[in-house]
Parts: sequence; C-alpha cells; structure tokens
Amino acid sequence: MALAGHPVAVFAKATNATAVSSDEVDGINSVTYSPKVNMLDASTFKDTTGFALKLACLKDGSVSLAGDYTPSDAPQMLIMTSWTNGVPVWITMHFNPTGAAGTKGFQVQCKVESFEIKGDVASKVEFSASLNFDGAPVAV
Amino acid sequence: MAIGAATSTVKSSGTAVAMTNEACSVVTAGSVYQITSATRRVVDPFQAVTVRDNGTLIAANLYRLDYTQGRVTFSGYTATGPVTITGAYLPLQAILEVKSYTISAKTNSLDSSTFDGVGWAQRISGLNSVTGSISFLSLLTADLDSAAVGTQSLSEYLANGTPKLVEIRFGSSTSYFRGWVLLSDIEEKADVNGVVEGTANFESAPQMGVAAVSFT
Repeated sequence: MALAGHPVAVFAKATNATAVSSDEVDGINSVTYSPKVNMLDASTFKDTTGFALKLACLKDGSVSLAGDYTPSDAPQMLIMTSWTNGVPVWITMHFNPTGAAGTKGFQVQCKVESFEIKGDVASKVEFSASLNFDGAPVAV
Repeated sequence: MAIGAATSTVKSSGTAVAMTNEACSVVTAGSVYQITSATRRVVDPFQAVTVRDNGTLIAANLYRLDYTQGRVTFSGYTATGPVTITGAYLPLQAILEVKSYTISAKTNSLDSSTFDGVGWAQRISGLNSVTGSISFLSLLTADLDSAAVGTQSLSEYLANGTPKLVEIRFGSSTSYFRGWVLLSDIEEKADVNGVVEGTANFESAPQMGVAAVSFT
C-alpha cells in the first residue's frame, strides 16, 4: 500500500542511540535513502549460459536531504558541524512512522560529504546535504 | 521555520583599520574572549596581532585566534581579564545589488574500508573546502568602498588575487557564513531582453593559515 510522504520523519543524532523527537531535523521536505552494492562482472568464457555473471561485493550507500535552511534547529546544525569536524552523524529515517519496530525505516552512521545553502531574492533560504554511509544501516 | 531570502546581506572585507588594545568581552571566563565591538570582529590576518591579558603580553602559542569572529581561545593559560587585542580589523562593505547566492561545503569522503568482515564501506573525512557563487546586477567594476584608496571592486579582487572575507547573512535569521575566499572567476553578461547581470564564483582560501570558514 502506498505511503504518503508528509508523515516521514528524518532524525540526526551524534550517537547511535534511538532517535527521539528532539532529534528530528526541521525544515527538511525531501529525503533519499540509497543503499547500493558494488556489482562486479564475473562473466567468463567458460560459462556458456550467455548471461553475464555478477558478483555482489562491498555494500555502500548515501543519504540526501533537502529543504528549508533552519539555523534555529539543532539537528540541522549538527549535520553542518559534523561536516566541519569530520565526525560521524547517525541519520534515522522513518518512511513508515506508524509501523512496528523494525519496519519504520532505517538508521545509518554517515559522514557528511557536502552541504549547500542557497538563497534567491524571490525565494526561501534553502538547505541540502549529501551524506555517505559509514557502515551498515539497521532497520528501525 | 522557513526563512525568506529577500533580507539576506552579502558583504566583503574592506581596507584594514588599525586597532590598539581593542576591548574584548567574556564568552567563557578564563578561556574564550571576543572583541566587544561587533563591527571590528573581522581581524586582518595580514597584520601582526598581539593579545594582552590585564596588560600582559600573551605568547602566541597560548591562544588561538579566530580571525573571522575576533574570538581568542586560550589553551594552557587561564586569563584573568581584561583581554585586549592589538592589530587591524577589516570593515565589511556590501557587495552591491546581489540577487542570489549559493554556499557549498564539501569534504573528500575517503574510503577506509578494510577486510573487516562487515561487508559495508567505511569512510573518514579528508580535506574540507567551500565554494560559492553570487549573482548581482551591479557592474564588476563597481567601487565597493569609495572612501578607500583605489577601486575596491570584484574585478580588482580577481586581479590582485588576495583572499577576501565574504559574509553572507541568511535572511532575517541571526545565522551567517564568514569565510576567507579567493575569487576563481567572474562574469558579466547581457541579453537584449534582460538586465546586465554579473556572477562571481569563489573558493575557500585555507592558505590563510587561519580558520578559513565559519558557519554561525
């Protein structure tokens, strides 16, 4: 069954402890969670099936966030200071906030690769951030 | 809460003005002090700076000075106050007719994965850098500080290659970016149906040997 996007919650925390409401990132209106695997081609001449043989190797991923710049919001500022200090930040995404434990979404330790603040005279001050996984995500 | 960008301000550092025994206020008693006058907090890194505590000259290895904020943090020394700073400050002058800005902070995300049996990539953060751009309706040759000797324009800044401090205040919030930057390229363009527009792109200048950028 389809899920509406508006109840989605994104949290940023300096530890892997369970995210609470005060850890929710304010201003965010778009989130993308992208785990991936380094898929290597292992096809050989001897294999006569005619299909490429693939080998799933190191897993990796990224999280991207975007929305309104909200300097009064401590979790959003945590993402910025984590970039400055090069320290991990734990991102929790509840794509299904009313789901049972283990089905709400994911928590993953990340390193902030980049963030951006931009303003246009006729628009809002906007914020976006790109984070890379720094280990395995867990279902929450 | 969303912030409208219309009240944002974009400024750059102007010509240095000497300051002697500039008073500082206590941020954290004994350890952190900041120049009291808000208009004198951008300290010129090209001028010699001395810090005194209760009139006594403090060795430079006992403190770190944040040149973008005029803030001195003592390490291995407990200040009694009053703390003063002698050097030069850089007044901030508006870059004229700016209509948009973008600040992009990036780090080299270095892969540190090993045969740890976990199977997920791991990372450490490498070098940080900040890039940005502004677009504006003023000319590249517009004098940003008519009181100073010579033309203080974006085209001059590009030509002389000297790092400048850029400050961007985000809308009506108290949050702002300050950073030492070098202009990497500038552009002025016109279309028969539009206004004359300029753009300037800049990069952080860590060669300053001081804290290159700050987000406050």
